[in-house]
Amino acid sequence: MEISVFFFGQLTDIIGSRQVRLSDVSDTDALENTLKARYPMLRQSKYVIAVNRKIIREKMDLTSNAEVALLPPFSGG
Amino acid sequence: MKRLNKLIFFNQGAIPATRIADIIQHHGSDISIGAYSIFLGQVRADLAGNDQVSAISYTAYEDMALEKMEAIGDAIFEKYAITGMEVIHSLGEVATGEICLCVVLTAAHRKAAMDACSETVELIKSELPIWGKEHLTKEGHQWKINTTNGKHHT
Repeated sequence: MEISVFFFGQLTDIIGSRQVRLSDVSDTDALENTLKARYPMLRQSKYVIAVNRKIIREKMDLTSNAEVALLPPFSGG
Repeated sequence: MKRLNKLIFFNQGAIPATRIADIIQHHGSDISIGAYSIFLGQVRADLAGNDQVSAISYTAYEDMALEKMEAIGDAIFEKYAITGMEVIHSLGEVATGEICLCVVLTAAHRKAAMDACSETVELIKSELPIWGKEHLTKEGHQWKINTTNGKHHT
């Protein structure tokens, strides 16, 4: 199962791209651990996770068509 | 209660003053309106150390922003006696002195329009997934920080 993860704002400076594809991540905790191992700077970053465009507060199981995004603090306006 | 199908429009680059005039002109056909409250955000030349902001590049998680703006619209229409809401936000680069945000609220009476406009602006800044990258005059960039980062407080 492959998941597309989208990055925005200052996180794109850390990741170096706006989208990363991950395999073998069954839930959002596994996804975060994989990302933090690959991009250690994420550990110092402030962000929330959105699944299918809704911010989640607790671990969520991921299906292959899930749209996952890491959102740093908003700064519109 | 009347509302546009879409509450927020993204505009590539700065929002021209004529666009704001067009909104007012357009609503003139609705003679139930007695008050407009309009907020305009302009890119400010903030100091950054011994450098200064020269422009802001905006990016958004557009699909989520459209959905979230609908939810904000629902809440504001529910809470205040307003007749219309229109929001324009820039994407891409906007130079200092140019307009990057336009929020227009219409109502029969001024208090509803003004209170709803104020709350809508706060919600746009704290809840819409939009980011501002501040370009500096000499070199480099920094990421804009809003004073209200509602969803990110722990």
